[in-house]
Amino acid sequence: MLTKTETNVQPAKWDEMESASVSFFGMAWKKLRKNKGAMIGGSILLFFILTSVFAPVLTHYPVNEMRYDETLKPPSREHWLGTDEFGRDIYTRILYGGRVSLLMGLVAVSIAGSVGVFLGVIAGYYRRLDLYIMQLMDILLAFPSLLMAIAIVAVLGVGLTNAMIAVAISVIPSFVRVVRGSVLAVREKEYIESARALGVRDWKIIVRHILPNIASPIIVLATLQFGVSILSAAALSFLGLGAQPPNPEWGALVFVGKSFLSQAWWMTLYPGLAIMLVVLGFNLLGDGLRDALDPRIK
Amino acid sequence: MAVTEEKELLRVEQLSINFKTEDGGHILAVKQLNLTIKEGETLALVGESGCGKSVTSLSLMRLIPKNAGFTEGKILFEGKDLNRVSEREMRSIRGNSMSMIFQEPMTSLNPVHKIGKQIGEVIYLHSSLSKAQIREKAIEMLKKVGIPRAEKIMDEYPHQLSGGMRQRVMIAMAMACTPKLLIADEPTTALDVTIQAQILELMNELKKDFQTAILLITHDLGVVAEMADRVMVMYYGQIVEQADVRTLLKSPKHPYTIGLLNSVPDMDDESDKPLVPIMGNVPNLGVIQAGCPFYARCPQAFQKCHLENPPLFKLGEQLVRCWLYESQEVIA
Repeated sequence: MLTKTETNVQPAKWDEMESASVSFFGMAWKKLRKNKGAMIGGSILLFFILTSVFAPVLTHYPVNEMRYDETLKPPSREHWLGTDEFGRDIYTRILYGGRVSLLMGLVAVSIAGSVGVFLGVIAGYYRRLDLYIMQLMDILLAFPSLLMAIAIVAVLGVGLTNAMIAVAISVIPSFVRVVRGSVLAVREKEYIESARALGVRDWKIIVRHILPNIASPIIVLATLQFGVSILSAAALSFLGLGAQPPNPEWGALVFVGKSFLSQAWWMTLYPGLAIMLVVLGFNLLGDGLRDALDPRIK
Repeated sequence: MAVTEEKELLRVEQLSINFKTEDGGHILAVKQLNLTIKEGETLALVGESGCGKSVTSLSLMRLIPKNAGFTEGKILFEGKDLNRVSEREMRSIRGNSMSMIFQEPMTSLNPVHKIGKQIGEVIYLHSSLSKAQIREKAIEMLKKVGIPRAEKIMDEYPHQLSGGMRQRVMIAMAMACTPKLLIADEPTTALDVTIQAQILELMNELKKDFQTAILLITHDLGVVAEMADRVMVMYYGQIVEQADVRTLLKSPKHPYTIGLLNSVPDMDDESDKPLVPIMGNVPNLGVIQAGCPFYARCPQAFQKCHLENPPLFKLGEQLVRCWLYESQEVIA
């Protein structure tokens, strides 16, 4: 009546399955290296990171020293990118300003990333809080992020630190959404159930089993949001709400240059170009990472 | 394979599992289920999709999320009522004295961790061995489940292994702490037939070696014949027939069991007679009905079946939930 299954079967041939043990991120790196856009983006970023780190080596002008005999000089051999209304070298100020701008992006993304991942995991894993967290995020998302940042600065007060916090808060919702969605997808996977069946506790399941599985979207988002944050921070400074002159933050440089637009175009063009290039770099790299980290795209 | 005076390992009394529905109501997925498993015994829980087998197994491990459903009744495991122990104590039972293997070996291993790390995690959780000892033990387990080049596999990722190999790894993980009870939820369904046979054989060997009792959840009667000591047939959240494996396969009593057996092809039968399917589907659990839930599909149904759900009747050692055996002693 029943099918009798053959039990004396030879084990499968194992040597045929010889495969190099390549980690997931190792493969992603390979794919990323083939992606031209990502490599260009990465190079741009590397260039700006290196120039801001080694600013003192790359220029002999001090950042904030005023020289009244050198005011509003156009680009020349002495001043590659010209000078501003106080005779300060624009090239020097952009180098040093990169430190501030990149740092603002880093701080904002770190804050937004950690808060966003935390809230997203809570919302996705413990569904009880999901509704409240997501409704709060929807409210935050209802405002354009820059408007939101301006409103927060208005509450906290003008300044570099407050601008960073404001930018961070305005970026949090996008992290929460992405993380929550990814957690929702992963938590239903059998290996999570299996981990639970083996006696692994909740927070260990989150840290060891869920987070590594959603690392890819988080990395991609963080990269893209890095550009967005730098742009927002620069915009805040440009509006006079973030870094204050004489701080050479790029947005602040553009802000100052704006008043001299008809006499000294170089005061706005070059810092603006720096902002654009860095944001472009992050976007290119982010897009490349998205493709590289997506296992479906070979 | 008669079971003689072995100690009782698990006793489930009057287990009911409710699921909340979207509209605020609830569905009774398992109804007043009783079962016992003795040490070293294999009990098969048989039934088609949606009859409550998997839910039952999850509730034994207390893995049904609290907000999704609630369970009633007693689950006595080594004398402890699992519905009453703390979450902490429950965690120390899971994977240690009671563990589980799942249906889908392709998705049951975490894709981002190496095999060694995943087996190591179970051992780490339930023992106080050093890192080197854990690794050694993990390799030993991999060898025990018949994995060649165990040392090498330790440093590979799940996607580098075949389905059969992954299921072996899953079994190694489940058996790593020599559990008293292994719950196997359709362990071979996703595997091809030759691999199925190997996995079943492996489970039988491990069962002998470790004296582990197995709760085997399956819809494959071939697997039942191969593995089980006793069989419980589930339908619509309740036990409809229970017997030792020989009795059940030789003289099934409940029309549903008879139907299940008739729908399996017989390799020795040369004639071309078509298989007899069971018509229809398991009724929707949300629909509350008075009579026997199998009524609509039953070829032998009569008036009474429509009116009242039968209790379990006792025929020797066999239990049957069917009005056809009304003259027999009532159990529950």
